[in-house]
Amino acid sequence: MTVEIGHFALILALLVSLVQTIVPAWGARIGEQRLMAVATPAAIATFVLVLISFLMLAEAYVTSDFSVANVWNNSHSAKPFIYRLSGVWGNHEGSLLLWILILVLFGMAVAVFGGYLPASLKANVLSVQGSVALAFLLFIILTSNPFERLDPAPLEGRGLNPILQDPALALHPPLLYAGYVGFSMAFSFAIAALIEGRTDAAWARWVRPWTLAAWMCLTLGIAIGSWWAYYELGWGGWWFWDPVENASFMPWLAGTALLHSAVVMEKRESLKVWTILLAILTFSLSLMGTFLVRSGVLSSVHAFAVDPERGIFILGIMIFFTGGGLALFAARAGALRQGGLFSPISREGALVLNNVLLATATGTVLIGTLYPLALEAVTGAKISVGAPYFNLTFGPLMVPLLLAMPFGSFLGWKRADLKAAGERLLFAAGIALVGAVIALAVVQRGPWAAPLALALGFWVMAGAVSEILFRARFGQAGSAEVMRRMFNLPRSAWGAAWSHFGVGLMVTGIVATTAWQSEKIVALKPGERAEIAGYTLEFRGVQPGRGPNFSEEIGRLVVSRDGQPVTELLPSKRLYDAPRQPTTEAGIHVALSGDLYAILGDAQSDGGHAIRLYFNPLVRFIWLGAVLMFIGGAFSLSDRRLRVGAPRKARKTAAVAAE
Amino acid sequence: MLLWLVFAVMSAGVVVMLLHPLLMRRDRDLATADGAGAVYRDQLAEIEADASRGLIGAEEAEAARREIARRLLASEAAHEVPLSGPGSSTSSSAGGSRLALGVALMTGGLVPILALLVYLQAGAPGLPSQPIAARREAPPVNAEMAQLIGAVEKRLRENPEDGRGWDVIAPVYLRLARYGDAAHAYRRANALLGESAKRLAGLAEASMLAESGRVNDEARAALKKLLEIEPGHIQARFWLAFALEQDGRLGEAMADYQKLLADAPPDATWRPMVVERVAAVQSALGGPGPASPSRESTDVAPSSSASTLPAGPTAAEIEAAERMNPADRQAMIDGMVTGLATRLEKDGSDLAGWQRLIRSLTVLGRKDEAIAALDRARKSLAAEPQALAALADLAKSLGLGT
Repeated sequence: MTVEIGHFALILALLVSLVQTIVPAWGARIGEQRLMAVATPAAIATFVLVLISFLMLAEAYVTSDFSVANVWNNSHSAKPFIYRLSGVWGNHEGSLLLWILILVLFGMAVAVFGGYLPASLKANVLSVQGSVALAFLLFIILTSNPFERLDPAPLEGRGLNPILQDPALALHPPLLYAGYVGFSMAFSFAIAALIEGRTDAAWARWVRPWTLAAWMCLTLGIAIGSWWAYYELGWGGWWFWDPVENASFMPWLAGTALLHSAVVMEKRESLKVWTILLAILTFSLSLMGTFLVRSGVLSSVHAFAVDPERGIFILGIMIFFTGGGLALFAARAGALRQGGLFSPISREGALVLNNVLLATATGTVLIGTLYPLALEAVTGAKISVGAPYFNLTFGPLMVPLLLAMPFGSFLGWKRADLKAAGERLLFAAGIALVGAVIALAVVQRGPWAAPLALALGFWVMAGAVSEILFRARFGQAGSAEVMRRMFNLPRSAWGAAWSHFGVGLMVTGIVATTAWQSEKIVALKPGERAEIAGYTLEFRGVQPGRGPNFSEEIGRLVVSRDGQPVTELLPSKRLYDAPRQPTTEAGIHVALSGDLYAILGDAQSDGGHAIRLYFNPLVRFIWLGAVLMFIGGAFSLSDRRLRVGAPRKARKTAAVAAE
Repeated sequence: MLLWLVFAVMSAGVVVMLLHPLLMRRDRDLATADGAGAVYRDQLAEIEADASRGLIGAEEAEAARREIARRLLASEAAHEVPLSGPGSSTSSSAGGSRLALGVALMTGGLVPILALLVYLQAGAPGLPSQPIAARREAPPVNAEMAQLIGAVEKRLRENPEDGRGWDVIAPVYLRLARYGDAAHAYRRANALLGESAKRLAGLAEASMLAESGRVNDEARAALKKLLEIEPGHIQARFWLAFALEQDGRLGEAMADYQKLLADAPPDATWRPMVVERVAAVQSALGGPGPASPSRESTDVAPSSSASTLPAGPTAAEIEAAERMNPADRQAMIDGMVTGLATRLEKDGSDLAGWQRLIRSLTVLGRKDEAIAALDRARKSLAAEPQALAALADLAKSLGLGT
């Protein structure tokens, strides 16, 4: 019975979201309060209904109810509890349901916490949000219904892809979706602003928390995905410029740009038109990500034909919202009044540079991702655009971005003194140079550019630290005064510093791993040794093992360094029971200086085993950096203050006259 | 019954939530007044706080204050002429109430009714949840079985060369629908103990079922060897013919099926299955085939109606149907129904066949065809009052009218 309740709740949610789309927007149009007020209960009801639906599907998974086709296709009664649960979103239908659940959760949050919004803006925002939910509920009910039943029920399920039987599945999709879907809030606010013709600093203030929350989730979601690929796929890499990865990276880049331009709009009422456009584009990129991953277009263009209905449906949704949003933008953007002026050298100018670079970077990734697909669709030729393309296009764009980043924080609003900012950053520049020299001295090998790239990372980190120290008047005031000032700094300032520091940390990690990774493939018999990056590994043979739903061969490697025992690595090869698929589990020794990473290969005819060894220096910094960005976002989000751009340089008379 | 009650409560709850703001009396909403103004006033307060904490200088504070004040004035000016038109503030009057009432009636009526209609199309209200625990409890043997399997699996992990162990566990896997495992076990048993008819048949069945009922290369090889060991093995002949049918070599498949029928004893339980395949191939070839198959089926029909009830699709076929993707499954079901209908057109004396056809068509939602089939059955069996009574019962139970 529970399954059917879930099904009915889903259908009811569809109809309520229809009401949510039509009635409040109509009310806002004719100015009727009662109609507008329907938005709030409708958003709450949709959330409750989708939640019921999701819980009922989860219940079917947990109890292994194979009379549900979706459960039978993707689960198995022998799976451990946690994977039966996370299996709910380890498949097409379930993950779409999760997508919708998060979407309506955001809608409900606006309904409940949006009391401060003007009634008509709130009604329009929730109406747009409702239309997105409506489109996806239609999609799921018509083409991907997770509640389809089988009668009679099969005895046993077909199991979940073993690669997905991993704790990261519990976190990665929900966070990623929270990011994708969170940007729908920015979209809804942008459309509502265009409909109402109101875009001002207050609007930017209202959008900020939603964008920030979405950006935080997306940052962490992508990082967890990268970390998962690193330890599970067994290639020793952490990012592959795979189209699926790019699909999540593009909204992140656009969202980062949006986050920065919204600050300008909130503080100075500038960049209004651009911010609105970015809000529309960011969500469009999220939709495109969903389309690329969910339609099957990515594995091959031909997968499209296998299930044309689904692919075309999502394509239709994407075209409707992107096209509709852009058309509305084209019609109304001219009517938006421009706000405050600023000179090129100013905080605003720096943020514009940030936006230009990030938007260009998004464009290069977009081309690199879509070009092969388009080429295959048109000519049938299969090409793959990989790391070389992205290193040549994306990499150079990041250099000016990182160089300019610390400057931005030191420039005042409206107009600023570049020289003064440069003087304040001398300390950071010094650290960067010293760091590069030390790196060169210690490593003495690798590409010539690597120490310079490393210096960029140090520069950004030191810049973030200097900003906090400068604002606390470090070196000018007594230590008690400095402490007091540090505590009094707005949390958003701390947030920016943490996030920027995280970026720097990530850059150092990326540079170090890319430039100085060591790799070795050896064939070892029990008792033989191999050496890599100063570690000595002794192979102790292979033993069989048995997990809850797989059998495995575990290799034992005893690791020592300079004669001192360090650890034991246990890389293994697993064979899952259902479906019968092999996976490799890497043996990883985690250290801040770098990871020792071992993969067990096939047995050789002479009794030895092939073993691949990697040493990835500073690789942890990459994910640590992402975590710092997340923490920075959380700081900023918790800042209740409403930020105002106070022109720092005291040439206010001229500034006022200029407006 | 409980299910419908739950649906009713859910719908009612949603309707109450949606109608509440529509039917409530609402004079003037205060919230509209000034969301943006509040933001700017907060911003001003923040400037004061910053200035008093010494985070910004007095002059900067003054400049910022002036900028915000300008925004505040602009937002208030915008409010005096609302974009939505001059009528907005007065529309909570009688006209507004009537409109709200109309929307309320529409919403309250349409949401539950449409939800129910969509659900009736898509849902399966009669199908209970079937958690695996409940199904395992039903026959207590299963718990022992699971233990037994566990023990054998453990022994096989320790000693993978134990052919007898693989031989014992293979059919068990097959019965549990662990087809991949079953095929693997049969493969090992065949390799370790030598090939036997039983093991080859098992291997063929398991590897076919593992691939959604497709007769793959491994299954074909096993079936051919099986025929060498045991010429005339019925299952092997049938599945090889089926493989030909799958490859689109319909003529050859037809010939093989007919040879099978010719060799079949009249009371063979598998006979109807072959007859159905013949009919399906015939319709795939386009209309009734050459004279021989139709003669064949007229020969067959009396015996099948005289013997036990036709078996319907075998367990293996059902399993195969379950493993297929929905489109293939639909095609397979449609093929079976068409086959049955074609056979009954030629020989209408098979009451059980008619019953099955009518039931299938009803289940498939092709109600008009079911009624038409019912009429044809009544005509064909007009001379048999008992059969007519049975048909009437069936029609009543399926709700096909009198």
